[in-house]
Amino acid sequence: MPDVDTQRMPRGVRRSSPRQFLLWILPWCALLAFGLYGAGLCLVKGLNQTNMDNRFAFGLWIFLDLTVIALGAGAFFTGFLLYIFKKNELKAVINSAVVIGFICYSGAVAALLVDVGQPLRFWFTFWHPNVHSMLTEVTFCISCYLTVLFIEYIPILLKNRKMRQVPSFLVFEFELHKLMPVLAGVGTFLSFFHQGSLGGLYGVLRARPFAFREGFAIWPSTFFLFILSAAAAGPAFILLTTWLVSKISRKPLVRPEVLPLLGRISGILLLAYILLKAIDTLVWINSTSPARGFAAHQFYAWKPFGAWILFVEIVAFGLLPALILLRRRLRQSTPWLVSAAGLVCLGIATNRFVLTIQTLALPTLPFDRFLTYLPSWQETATFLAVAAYGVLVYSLSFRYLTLFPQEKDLSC
Amino acid sequence: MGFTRRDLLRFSGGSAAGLLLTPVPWTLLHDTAVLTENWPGVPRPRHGEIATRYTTCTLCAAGCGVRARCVEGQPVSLAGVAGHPGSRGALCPAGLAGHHLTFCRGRATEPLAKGKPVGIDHALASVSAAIAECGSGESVAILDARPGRAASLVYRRFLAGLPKAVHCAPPDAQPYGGFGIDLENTRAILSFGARVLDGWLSPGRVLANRSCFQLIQAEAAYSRTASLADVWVPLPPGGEETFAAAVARALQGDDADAQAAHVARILLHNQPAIAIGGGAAAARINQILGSVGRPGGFLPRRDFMPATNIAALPDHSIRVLLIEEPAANDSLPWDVVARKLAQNPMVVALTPWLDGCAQHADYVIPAPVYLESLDEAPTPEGCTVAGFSLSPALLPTPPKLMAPAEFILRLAHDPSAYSEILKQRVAAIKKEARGTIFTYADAKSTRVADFASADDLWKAMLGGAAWFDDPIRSSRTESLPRAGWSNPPAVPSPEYPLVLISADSPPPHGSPLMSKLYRESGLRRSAIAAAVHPETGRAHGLADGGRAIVKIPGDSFTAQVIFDAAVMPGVIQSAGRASSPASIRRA
Amino acid sequence: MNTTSSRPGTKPARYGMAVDLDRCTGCGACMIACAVENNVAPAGPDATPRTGITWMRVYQISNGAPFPDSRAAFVPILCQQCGKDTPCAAVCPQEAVEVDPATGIVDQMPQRCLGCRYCMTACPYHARYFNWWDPRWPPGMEKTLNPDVAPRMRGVVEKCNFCHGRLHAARDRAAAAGRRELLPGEYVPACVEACPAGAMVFGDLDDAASEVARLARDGHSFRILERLGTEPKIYYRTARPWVRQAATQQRKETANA
Repeated sequence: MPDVDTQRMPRGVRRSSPRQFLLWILPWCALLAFGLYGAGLCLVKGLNQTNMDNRFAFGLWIFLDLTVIALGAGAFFTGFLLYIFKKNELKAVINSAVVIGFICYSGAVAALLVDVGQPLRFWFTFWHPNVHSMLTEVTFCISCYLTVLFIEYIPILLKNRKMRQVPSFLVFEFELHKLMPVLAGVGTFLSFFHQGSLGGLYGVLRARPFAFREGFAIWPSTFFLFILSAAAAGPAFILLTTWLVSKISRKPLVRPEVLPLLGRISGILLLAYILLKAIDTLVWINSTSPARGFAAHQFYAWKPFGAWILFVEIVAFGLLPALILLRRRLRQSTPWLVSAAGLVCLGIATNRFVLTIQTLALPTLPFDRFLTYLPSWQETATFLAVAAYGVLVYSLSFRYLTLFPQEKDLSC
Repeated sequence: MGFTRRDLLRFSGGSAAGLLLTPVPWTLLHDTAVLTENWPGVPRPRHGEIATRYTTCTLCAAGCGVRARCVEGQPVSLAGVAGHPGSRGALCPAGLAGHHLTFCRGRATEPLAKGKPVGIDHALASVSAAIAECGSGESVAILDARPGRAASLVYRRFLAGLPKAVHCAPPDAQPYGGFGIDLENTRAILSFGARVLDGWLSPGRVLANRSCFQLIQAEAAYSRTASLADVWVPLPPGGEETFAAAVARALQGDDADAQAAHVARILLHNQPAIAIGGGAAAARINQILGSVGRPGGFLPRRDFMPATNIAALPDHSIRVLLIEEPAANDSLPWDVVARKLAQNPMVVALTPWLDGCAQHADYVIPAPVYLESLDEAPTPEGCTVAGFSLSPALLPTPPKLMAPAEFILRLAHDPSAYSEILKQRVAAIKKEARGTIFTYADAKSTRVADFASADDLWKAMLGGAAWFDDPIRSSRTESLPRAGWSNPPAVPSPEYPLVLISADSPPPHGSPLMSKLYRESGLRRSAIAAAVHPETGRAHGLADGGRAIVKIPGDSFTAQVIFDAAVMPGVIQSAGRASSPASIRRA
Repeated sequence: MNTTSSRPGTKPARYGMAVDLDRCTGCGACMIACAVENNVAPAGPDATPRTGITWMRVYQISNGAPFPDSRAAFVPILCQQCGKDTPCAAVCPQEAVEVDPATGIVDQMPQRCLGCRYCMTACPYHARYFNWWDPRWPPGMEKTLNPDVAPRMRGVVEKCNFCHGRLHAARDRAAAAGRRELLPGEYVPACVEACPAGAMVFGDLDDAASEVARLARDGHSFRILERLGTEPKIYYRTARPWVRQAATQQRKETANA
């Protein structure tokens, strides 16, 4: 007689026993509790609990928010490729991608609420928007996109075995599914803008010649580079997570051609991104930065951020994985594939790091100094809470929802 | 059919949707905004009647005029008095936040006997008894922070009635004796360690004349003045006399080293020139330059009341010592004072603070601080004429406090109040009918003779005014008194191969804002920072930004090391510590 | 960017300052006067040089020469009231920064500030400060708060606004005297009034007859980070070439100085 727990699981797949599952989620719950404590301290006692200061006004949280949003871009990009470009192989991972996207965006928004000094005033941006500010654009688009993700998550929830038994849910889910292409389109549109605006946040800073870029109309080149890098990182991250979940659950979850496909998509976009990034960097070195009165090499004279970081970002974590992912033979080999995907994600993280942390570390006033910053435990704890939250939501979704439709066939 | 779960869900969903159409959620949202603007714990400034009142700053010997903006009688900001002949409308940072002093922690709030609260009558009786018990050869002394005031006259009158008594002052009080400095006409200053641009005389006066004189700063420390001076002569610690002698030789045309010759050339080409600071070093140079009694140099004034330098008293001679704490407590070197105390001494501290000389005292008589009670400001230091002004109170006097002069009056069984003494002083000014009164409110100067009566003059001074005497024409050219050293420079020894010197004075009691802002801007190094030349640092195995242990005779402390190529090799430059031989090693 | 309309009937002013670096002795009187005027709280013992609030902050620069040729100069840095493409105003998501066309003053509204600190990353002069703590005064010292300036709460950004409270008070006084225009010297920020060296001059840069406009045109005057093109309204003056160089060009050291 199947017990209550098994009744909620998708049909035809094996899941670990309740006791095993409990053992898995308990440490993550503990981490979540610890992280919530850290975040709670920041909310109650104020942001002096962090190691951010007047020079490092943005710290670990913004860096990780930007990284996590870029990695969660797989949600919109996979949806775009599936519903608009009709790449049906991606049906195998779309549900997982949506859940990951939902986790990334909701986690980032939660971290942002702790990051601002007056969280209760979050709605001021909607009430007094500043059309010139990239951050207004980011706020609007991310809020809308989180709603879109939530709406995209609902059908996955409603397809749960128990939920389906409610007729009105079934009908609702069916109607919603018809909207999927529209939602995918809206999601793509919104993502295009907010991924870009996150890049635009730094590209418009005239005060920071290290980050400032010229561009097209009001959009600096970082706007477009961020979109492209997010589109490249998204599939790589989905590849990575699918492989990881498959390893942890010890089951094949997708057909063998799905992951290499994701890798190829990522590789193509990454190559395009690296080329444009290289051009942008050259333009910056030769034109933009000198026009602001700074020779670009000055910025790399400050230890520990020498020119090696540029090399790491563009070549080691950029060109290298792109070339790996573009070679079919290497894509067929899982170690190569997964390592390359990992490097892609690291490259995107490095890019966000350079723009958030290195930009702020560099002095602007002529009689200023290079600054260092290390996050406090409360900051780290808050982000560990986000990670724990993500793992918990994903674990529950994986256990009770159909994240990988091909799993049932592969488990026979 | 009963009320099912589905009905509940439908009802909840409908209500939520409907609620959005009502004003309720929007008003609540607005209320959160109002809540965030009225965060509990953020104080609201008091509103009320705004008035301008005038007083004189008593935080140091400069006696700058003060204009206070008061709300319901509480000063909320202080500013200088435009046109003031002494202060030129300026106030220093301590003066600008002087109205915070009354809220500073560490106040003595009631009379203490060996740390325990006692009544003022008990304290008076005990001190009187101790004075009566003084044997032959044991004296009573009053250490007067600022001799020359009406209060000082009270002290002297009291001490005159005792068989053996002395009115003394800290070693570096009265550095110029009965002379003022004619800064307006000076063309060169050779300073041996005086903080010329960092608290000398009154900042307004010095800075108004800055472009008129060449400043040669001769000291070991890379102080603010040294860093801004026209010439910094980095002397090795203890090298003042040698250098002064070399400059003296160069001034007289004899051979001397290049640096002394350079300085002598500047002094000769920019006359009148003066030398200040540094014990006997400056006196010799002033003699050669003939700067005493000449315009642009040191001009005599009428009011000098010499007080004995405490360091010059015989050791172990004082049985009862009453100390009036200087407002800036860095000029009271306790070890110098302690040597003068006899067996079983009684030390009475007349002070607002618990952490200065009160720490060494048997009795603490709590005194009011600046703005809390009517006080006086004597001749501003360096002024070429005698002067006097009142410092009317702008705040209520806290209970159980007693002004030092008032305590002495009680000891002398004199029923007068301190304010009456001040009134007598003003009456004396009116009687002598010399000088002018500069009133702060309208920046007008009126001759004393033009005041109808002493009462009128008193009222004018209570409203904020300063009296300046007429200059005297005198041909006095005797030397200045030998300037005292509160803290003579130290010399290294094998056990202590370096010398610890101070570039900044320790912060006196002041507004908590001052230390906060200086710390944050890095303008003044903290007392636990030790700056060394990189060579010195490397020679002693130190790391820039690392920690080190600094040992001085009788003490040691941990400090953060700062490598600074501007600092003289062989010294450890810190803030607020007396000069002493020292050693340093990595912590 | 929100813009309020000019006061009708008056000529718009462009307030600016000229600071003489050859006179500044780094005494910090301007810092104290600013904090007293604007109700800046003495932050707690945990505050560091990078978390404290100093609307006016005096930096020390040196000629880079080692002992015994070292010389220092002092540079007071306050909000430079950028006049073109004001970086902080452009980036604030809630329009909590307002550039007043009647005065040119860049005003910060702490009541609307969300505390996102984007403006702080945008400001090249680091003239914006965040309230990392709740403001706390020693017991009793709240009585000394200036009634013309609202104390800020924790979690918002604040900065110099050329003592806006004093501008309003001056306008009230002028109105009481029946005038619409302010006389020169009638409105002066606290720092300018307090400087014992008289190193700071304040006034209307657009008034060709004013002292500050004359000083700004002078050959010894320069602005910091002029090449960024934000048109700051604080002019610094010095006759010493090394001071000008140290204030305008980055030193070439490589390690964390």
